[in-house]
Amino acid sequence: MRHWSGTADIPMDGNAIVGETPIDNLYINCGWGYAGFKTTPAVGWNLAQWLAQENHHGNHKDNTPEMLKAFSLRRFSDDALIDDAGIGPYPWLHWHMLLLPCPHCGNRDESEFDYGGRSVEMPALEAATMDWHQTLHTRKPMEEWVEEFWFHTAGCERWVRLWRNPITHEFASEFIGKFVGDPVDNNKNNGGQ
Amino acid sequence: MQPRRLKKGGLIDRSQRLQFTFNNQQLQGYSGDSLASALLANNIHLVARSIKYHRPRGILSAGLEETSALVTCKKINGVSVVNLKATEVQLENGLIASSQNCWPGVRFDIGSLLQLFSAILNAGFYYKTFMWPKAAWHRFYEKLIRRIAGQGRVNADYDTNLYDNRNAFCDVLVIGSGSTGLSAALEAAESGESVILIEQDNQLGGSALWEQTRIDLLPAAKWLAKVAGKVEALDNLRVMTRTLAFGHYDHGCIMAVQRNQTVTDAIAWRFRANRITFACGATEQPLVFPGNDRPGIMLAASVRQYIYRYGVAPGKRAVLAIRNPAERELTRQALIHAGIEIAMDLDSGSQIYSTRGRRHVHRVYWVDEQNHRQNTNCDLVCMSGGWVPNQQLASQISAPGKVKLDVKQLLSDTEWNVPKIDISIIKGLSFLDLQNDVTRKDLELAVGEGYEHIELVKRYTTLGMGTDQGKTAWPNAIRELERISGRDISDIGHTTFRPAYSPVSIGALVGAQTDHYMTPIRRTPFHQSFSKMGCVFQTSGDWIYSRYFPKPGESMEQAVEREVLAVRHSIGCVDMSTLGKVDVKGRDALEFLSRLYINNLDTLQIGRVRYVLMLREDGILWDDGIVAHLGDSHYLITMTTANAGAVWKWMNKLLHLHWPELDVQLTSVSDHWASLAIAGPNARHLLARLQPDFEIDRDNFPFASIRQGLLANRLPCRILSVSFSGELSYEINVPAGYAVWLFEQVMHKGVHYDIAAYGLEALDILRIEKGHISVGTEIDGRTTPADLGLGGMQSKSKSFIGSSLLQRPALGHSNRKKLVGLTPADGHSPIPVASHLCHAPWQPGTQPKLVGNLTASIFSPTLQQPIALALLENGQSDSQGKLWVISPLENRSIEVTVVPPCFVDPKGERLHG
Amino acid sequence: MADTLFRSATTFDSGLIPADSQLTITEVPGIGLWSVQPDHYSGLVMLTQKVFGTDPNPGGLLQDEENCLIQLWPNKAFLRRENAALPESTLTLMDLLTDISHGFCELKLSDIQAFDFVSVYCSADVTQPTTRTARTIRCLLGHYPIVIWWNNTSDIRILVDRSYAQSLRDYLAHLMSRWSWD
Repeated sequence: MRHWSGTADIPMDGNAIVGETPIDNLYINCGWGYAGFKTTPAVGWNLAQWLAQENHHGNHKDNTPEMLKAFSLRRFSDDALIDDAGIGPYPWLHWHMLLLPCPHCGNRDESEFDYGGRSVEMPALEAATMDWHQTLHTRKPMEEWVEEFWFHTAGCERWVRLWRNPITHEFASEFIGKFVGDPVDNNKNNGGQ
Repeated sequence: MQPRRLKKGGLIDRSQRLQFTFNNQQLQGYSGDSLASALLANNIHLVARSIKYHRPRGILSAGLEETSALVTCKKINGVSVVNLKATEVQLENGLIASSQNCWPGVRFDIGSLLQLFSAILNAGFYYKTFMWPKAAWHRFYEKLIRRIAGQGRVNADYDTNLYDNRNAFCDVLVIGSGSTGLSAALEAAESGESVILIEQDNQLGGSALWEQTRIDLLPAAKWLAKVAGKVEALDNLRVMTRTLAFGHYDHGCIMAVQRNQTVTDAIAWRFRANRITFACGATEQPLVFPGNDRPGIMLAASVRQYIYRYGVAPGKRAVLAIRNPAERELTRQALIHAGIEIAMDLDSGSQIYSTRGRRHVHRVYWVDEQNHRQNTNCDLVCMSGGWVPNQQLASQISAPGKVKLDVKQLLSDTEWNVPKIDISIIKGLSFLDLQNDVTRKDLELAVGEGYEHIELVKRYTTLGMGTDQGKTAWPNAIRELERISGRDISDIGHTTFRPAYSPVSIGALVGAQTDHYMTPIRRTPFHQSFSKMGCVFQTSGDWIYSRYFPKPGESMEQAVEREVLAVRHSIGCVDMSTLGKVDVKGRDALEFLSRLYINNLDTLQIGRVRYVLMLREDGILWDDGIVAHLGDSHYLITMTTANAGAVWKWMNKLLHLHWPELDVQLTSVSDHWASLAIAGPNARHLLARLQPDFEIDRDNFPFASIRQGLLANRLPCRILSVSFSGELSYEINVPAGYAVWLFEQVMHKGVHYDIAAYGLEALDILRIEKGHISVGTEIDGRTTPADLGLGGMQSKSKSFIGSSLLQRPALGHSNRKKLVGLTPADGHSPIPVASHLCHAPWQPGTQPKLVGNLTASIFSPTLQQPIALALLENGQSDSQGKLWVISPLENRSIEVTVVPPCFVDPKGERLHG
Repeated sequence: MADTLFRSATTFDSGLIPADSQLTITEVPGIGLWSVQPDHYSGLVMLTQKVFGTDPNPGGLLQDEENCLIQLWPNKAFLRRENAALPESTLTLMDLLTDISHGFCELKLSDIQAFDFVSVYCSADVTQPTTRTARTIRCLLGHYPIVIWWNNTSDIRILVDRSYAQSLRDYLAHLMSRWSWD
């Protein structure tokens, strides 16, 4: 019914990032998406306790509170991720009011599509762990246009690369690589601004 | 009979008299009346009590901007609905209406005592009161507030009305059928565009229906008649009345609700238009003076509507308080036409400073331009504070770069209102938002306490938060803030307008998606056959799946035990049709599959099948299934039921976006093939009886193979020798239309072996006894193949999806949780399900160190004892001594023994039987 | 128990259609359906030339007495026949075809209002000129992904995944109770 727009930061495994950063004495507590409200009392308490302890210099790994260990930034590159499938927020939840331009079928209702994440170049399968980590877990801040993938599930069943302006909701799209047929001229009288 | 009904005139149908009741009083009206006009015709003004102060309230307006006249209505054969505006309720025969929020009645209401406390019940009072004593909150205050708060009482009966959701598309959508809307619609339609015109009233015309003005040189009514004819004649102009647009969304999307149709109570329409014309008219604003909420004080244009459209005189002696000269003149004419005496026509220099009349206004006091105080008696006040355009719907979507409307322009017609008054002479409460009892004093309080921003003012005072969304409140509120704070109204701005423009019933939003029609249901090809056998089903995602097949008199436990033992000792059959199945063809089919799965597939010969694992890109185990090599560049793969959809999308994503150079064609054949697995020591015997046209002995049809051919010379089939249960097993796949025939054959020919059909319960027990992993239990989004003892399946000679991140150090730690089997140390105690592992029994009140968790726990019919599967730190190498399964929920701790995670036939000899 | 092999219907009438409804729903039995997936456009041309004697019709239908090619995807098409036997002309093109005859159910909606009825529940605009000319589209009907095709608007065909067919059939009947048929 109602709608709001803006960005909510949610890391790829749906859980927040709390703790140290590569910069000495800089700590972060972020990425709560929309789960922060209920969790901040406990996390805030733990983080405050930790920071208030003596011996701030150097590696805190020894006295990282139990509760915060699993939220470390390092979990993406080194450790195993937490996966609260079904519990944590999903970065891809959205509401079906948009009209998306499918290069083949023309402008179609958002409910016909499935969202597939920000557009990324997949590294070679044998590429180094750090390359895969960068691709999978890090994102540049959003610019004027966001590039992402959508699957036209209830239409032509092709994946498209879409450019979206998050403020104006203008769109543009294309297929990647080869496809067999010509696009259909279905763009007339199909809504849109 | 209807004392205030004019002898003639109005757009009502006087030949159709309607009976209705209001507060148990039998009354009459005419077809074409609203409930409000019928009440006024019967000289009933007092219809409600306000939410907080329980002040007597009447009918302020004639439209959906109504803020005071909230009633509960029940149509004949209908359900009771609360908080309806009397001005919006269409009068029907047998309608039962009643006042709300009053006891014992609207004329005498105990709640009006609250007015004595008005000084402490001002804005935000609930933040400052009901705090002492602390214990009193739960015991007394909360109970009291729950009784008093709110408006109408919701009827909790099942809503028997019918609703629907529908879509419509057009070139041009015109919202509003006043003269502007009609002209716009005609122009667009005459130029050839497809046009839909929606109007929330039950007739077209807007104010042209009653105003005595001229349009295009014609009297309004004549102009309307002419235009109606043109509208009728155009095929490409579709008219929908009783259709209220309530939400404006992206890309030309408008949501609207169409009410009071023959079959449905309401239909929620979703319009998608290339262009939208908002011709939503304007709302007249009240004046702000003490007691401006009394019954009998009405908006001037609404009074005109009651007179001309409904043939009703809302009073006998009126005071006019209208600034705009043209409006004043129109109102005077209307009152004269209706035979209403004009007691006083206040000029723009006068200011009302008090009113009297508890249940109905009877006296007005004002100060005139010469500063003389005067008063007169009356029973009707026609007030107008100017008109404000209804731009809320349009601005629910902000145009790029422009977030708010130009408030100065919006309120330009209300310039002479609030700021110029002399506050010192006022006596009594002056209302800004009648529905939420928000007064001028409340705004002063809010600003005084620091809530200056208009969004804060709204939330602190609750101004504009009612069912009318402040349509007759917020313009005056902005003027009031201008007076109090001295800020320019362009700085003050307005609050964000959001859907719904006017209330929409939840039933309309739900439409026809009630009960089990809420989501689609998937059935397997064996559903009818199973149903006939008395199968008990369960939902599993979108699917209805066979759960167990009880014989007459059997409990679930008995049936499941029988089914499991049948499979272990003789033969059973189970539906495997829900698995995802994809046909993979193309030159690069093998290359594609090799990248997808961790297994080496180069060595998979034609006619052979391999159990395969698929990882996520981050190396975590995602899905399992099989790959069957059907022929040259031709494979069949399966996915788990739960992940079938996601894996299908994923495979397409890889081919369309990342590896378009690969020559691979995927066809989903999940629904094309019905799949029935026959499992047990007698499986091969039964298969022979089905007369396949290929050899099925152990050498010609070994474990992990696929054969294609015919059964009984007729039925095309594909048979896979794979096993989820651990017994000798064949998955018989046939085109789904032949499933019924196949099942009949199998059950008939299987009688000889006492065949048992089995379902999800037995399926699960069998696989747990074998230690076979499944999605959601051992594959839980955190485990790798090595964690589950399947690291050996990983190819060392190629890269695959996930292989890179699988090398992250933490995924290779030896102390990771690994799959183990558990048995109770005493051999018989049940192991609590979904529990955790610990090296000591649980002490209540402690936070134990957990070293693992269960993934499955059952009583094994085959072994006649409890068994479990679990993920335990260090797995089989755990050397920290005794181990307990602890369950704080059940308050139990069971000592367990770690064993290999396979309880039946660990060497797998039965598979090759 | 029948010894003769029979192909069962996917759906049955649940008895939900209102008595006064003019719209009827039936299942079209025994259709043949193949997914045509060439790796090059030339493969599709070869098939349409062999079967219909013409070039492909992107976004629309190609028809003769027995065959109907539905071309709603850039990389594939559906070949539909009244029965499950492939035409002679395609026997040399088998590697382009995958049999999905049993994977779909075809429901037939008959009534003069059939097209209007379906159009208000589709996620796409089936009334717009290009779609009316094409006489086919793939979109959502409620929550069900479907292919619709028709030769005349009083006989609408819906192709739906077999596992959803009964649910869709019941849902359509459920919707009919919200229509006034006068």
